[in-house]
Amino acid sequence: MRVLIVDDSRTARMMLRKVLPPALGADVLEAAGGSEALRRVETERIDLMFLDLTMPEVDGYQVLKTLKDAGRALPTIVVSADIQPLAQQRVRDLGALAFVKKSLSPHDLASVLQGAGLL
Amino acid sequence: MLSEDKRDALQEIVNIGMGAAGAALAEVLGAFVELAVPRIDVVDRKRVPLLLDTAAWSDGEIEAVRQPFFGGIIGESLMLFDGAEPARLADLLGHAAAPSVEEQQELLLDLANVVIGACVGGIAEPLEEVVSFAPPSRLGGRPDASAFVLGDPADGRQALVINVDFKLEERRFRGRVLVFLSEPSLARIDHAIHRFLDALAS
Amino acid sequence: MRSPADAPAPAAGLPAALLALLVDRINVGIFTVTADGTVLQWNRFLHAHTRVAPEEVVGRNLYERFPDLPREWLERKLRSVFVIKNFAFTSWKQRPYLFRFEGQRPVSGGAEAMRQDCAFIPLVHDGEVKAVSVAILDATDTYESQTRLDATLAMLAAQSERDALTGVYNRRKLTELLDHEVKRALRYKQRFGLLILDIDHFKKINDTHGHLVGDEAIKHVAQRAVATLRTTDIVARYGGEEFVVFLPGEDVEGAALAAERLREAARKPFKTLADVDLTLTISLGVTGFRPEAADPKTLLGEADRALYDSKQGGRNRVSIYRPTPAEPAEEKAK
Repeated sequence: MRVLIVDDSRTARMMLRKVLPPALGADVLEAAGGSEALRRVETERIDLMFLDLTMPEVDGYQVLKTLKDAGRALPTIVVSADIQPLAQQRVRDLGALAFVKKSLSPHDLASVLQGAGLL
Repeated sequence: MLSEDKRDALQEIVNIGMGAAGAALAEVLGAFVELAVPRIDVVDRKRVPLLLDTAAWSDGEIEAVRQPFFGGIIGESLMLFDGAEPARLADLLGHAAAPSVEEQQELLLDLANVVIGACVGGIAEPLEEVVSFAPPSRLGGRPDASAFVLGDPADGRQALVINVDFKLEERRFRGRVLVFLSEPSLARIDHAIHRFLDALAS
Repeated sequence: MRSPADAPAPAAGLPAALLALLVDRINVGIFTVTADGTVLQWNRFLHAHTRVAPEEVVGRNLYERFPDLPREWLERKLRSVFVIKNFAFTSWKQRPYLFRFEGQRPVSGGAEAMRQDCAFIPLVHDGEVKAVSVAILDATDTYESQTRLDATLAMLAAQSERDALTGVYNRRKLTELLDHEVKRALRYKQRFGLLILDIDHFKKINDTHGHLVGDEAIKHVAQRAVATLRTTDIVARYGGEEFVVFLPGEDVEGAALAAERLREAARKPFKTLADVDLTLTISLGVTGFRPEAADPKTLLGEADRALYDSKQGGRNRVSIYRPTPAEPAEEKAK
């Protein structure tokens, strides 16, 4: 499974890599911003995307909206520090599969993946 | 000091802390809070006033609340409010009439306490430090935010300045949290980030 | 989020009973409530000041037992501590007290009720706020010194802008007020008149009657000016026997009329402290704010030239500065 981690923070990408369950058998790719993520989604095969919300320039909301407007159904799990209930509602409305809060534990992530039928 | 890796780690830690602060603020105010990406600077203390650029803010006075914290890391936090006029505060409070001066002051103190508590607490927690807070106090209103910071030109020491902007959607209300850590805490936080990154790499 | 109130370390050296004793005896009011307002703890400080014993309040609802509490406000404050799991604070500066404790200082006087700072402390266990403790600190001393300090600062501020002899504004404050007035007049397209006045033959008064009488003459003119003009007009001592007045809202003609009234008022005889009747006259120069003369220095220069005309014209008179250089400054006959 080809997994794309989108976050402007290298630390955040590392933290996420560390908690990905080995059972997922992920081939992990990274993007450091919204526009890079959209480019990779356009040109490469991506099976699952982990997406941060607060990023400079193109943020997570814009990525979700662009994909939704293009009719591109890419399984996306939003990983964000912004844990306001309204933020969670909005990303679901934009088609995200699930919302997990930073910093996430391996256990939290595994149950989200199971819940989404990905594990 | 503070290598690129460490700065990135600290920025992410602050980001997480600020997420908690935003949620706390949203809970108290019943409004959606737009968060910006935090900015981290390590500068000479005399240059700190230059970091408080509020040129893009409205023409009115900027209100500031200061709150010191102590424990594993020692420093102080400043919360700046733009557009803290009585009418907007009344709107925030859900009051029909303009709140009294004391009510306005109390609201600003409460907001600052909540946001600073969540933000500083959120930074301290992943670094396994425990912090306590002194009561917040008002610094009053000034037309220019740099007036709130005394930059001692003779001071060669460094300070870590964390700068987070947020605003309330739909209501024209904006704020900024600044966290200042002095030099001894700087070394300690540097060490804590090192531990944090080591744990991440293992 | 971990809070400093979380995970109380087992008091290594201090048994729980002694710890409880400390909380009870400490010179700070401490009570603890649950989310529904049930009181769990009530220490001796509160017992002494409210005259309500722990057994009368513990296990009961706080607001039912103390109906005078600002319930809505306190509930909101406590709720935020339960939800956010963080300390909260209140200061006497915004809210003088939580509980009204009367007559704290029958001997020394001062505040009628104890001023209080409060800290709301979340008691967190397993990530949940089980209860909130409220610590009430007596801030009456701070309140009283702050009140005295504020009064002193207000007095100093007033003194630093007043002339010691006459009590009217001093030159430093005049500069500040005039700068402000020029900006305001420009921004809101308003007008104001400006006059400079000077006591005639002041040197002769000093030489004949002495410097103390000279001082009284200066005081007399200041008093006449303040009494004659509107309260919105600004009177300042500009130099030795020289005063500047500006009159917001007046054009140059209106200012000249006021100057004429002032000239009349000043020449009425006054009694010195030595019981001598003294008569003096003043000369005045008048100008008016115009957008093309929108700075204090220019305006003062214009009024000063008009004053010079009054002196040259025989003193005890008012002259108006006329902007066109071709036109000689016109004298207004007394």
